[in-house]
Amino acid sequence: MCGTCGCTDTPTPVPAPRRRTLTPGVSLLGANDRQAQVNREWFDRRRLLAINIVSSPGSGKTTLLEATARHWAGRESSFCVIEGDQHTQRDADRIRAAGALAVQINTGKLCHLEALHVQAALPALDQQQDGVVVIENVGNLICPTHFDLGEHLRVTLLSVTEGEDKPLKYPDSLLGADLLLITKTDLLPHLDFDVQAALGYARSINPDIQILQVNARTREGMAPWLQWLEHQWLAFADEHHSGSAMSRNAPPSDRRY
Amino acid sequence: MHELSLAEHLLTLVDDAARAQGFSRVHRLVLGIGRFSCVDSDTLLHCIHHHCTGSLLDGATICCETREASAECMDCATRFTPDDWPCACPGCGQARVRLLNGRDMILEQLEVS
Repeated sequence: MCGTCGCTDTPTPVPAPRRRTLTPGVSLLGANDRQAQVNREWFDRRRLLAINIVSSPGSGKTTLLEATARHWAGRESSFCVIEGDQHTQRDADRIRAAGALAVQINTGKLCHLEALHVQAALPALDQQQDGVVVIENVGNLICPTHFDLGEHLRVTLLSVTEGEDKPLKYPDSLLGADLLLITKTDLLPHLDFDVQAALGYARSINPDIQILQVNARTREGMAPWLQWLEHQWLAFADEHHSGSAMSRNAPPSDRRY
Repeated sequence: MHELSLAEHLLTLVDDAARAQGFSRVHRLVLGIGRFSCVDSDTLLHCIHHHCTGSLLDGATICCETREASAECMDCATRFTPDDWPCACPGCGQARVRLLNGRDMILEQLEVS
């Protein structure tokens, strides 16, 4: 008997929600990749060549960018840096002291930059155009390699203190790179680092990768690095000024994964 | 670790699908993980379970299934199934090989109500 009205009707059971199967077919990185493309189009509209620099912590990324900023000063084309670190403003402060605009992104517990981090930095660069933007990723040879930030080029640093077989141990850091910079070459007399082996290992992973050796502290090798950078910028600027550039729908097309 | 970030991305995908498709509970979820993707499936599962407490995925069966890879030699155009990555072309022996698939991480299936 119903406790409310005293009737003897049997309550109608409420049917359980019907189960159904959906097949989304979407990538876990889909949102990041879409934001990366938005970032790339932002850079393209301003004719800013975006370069993502990846390396282990302590390979010399910031020192290289300080030296690059000092050398780039006075040119018609601009040079600025988006700095990625878990904590502190220290790297951005160093770049500013070298004379370039720098925006610091702190990722907290996250070990890599994602496209949304770069998007957050873009308003600070809104007045920039016709130049180079370097994104210095969080020091980490694994996780950053899997996230498109909207860059046009990717550069990997390997310092001579890391061992010549690093390319074999961390192949993804080479597969997705356009240029490998071997850094801290002034330390070679104190190490057993085999430069030729390192070159061979790198090319066994990515036969098309360009490789330079550089020492930002003594400036040895800076000229070829700056020439490479200038060449990339001029080619990019030429594409965009001639109107032939199309914003890529994906990371640089010759990335092998 | 990046698996934690990917678990967060997965939860966002599921929340978006729930709003679009009108469901409030996930019973089972299938992820297709490319053989040479950037994730360790066990770590990803651990991160998903850690992250989904109180979410739509709470209590759901999460399946990570490996999907095979395919590759193509950029020199001789041979297509093959690689046993390892990176690798040389089994046809010409050169190292200029690219993956056609095998790195994807796809939300393939949701059983919902």
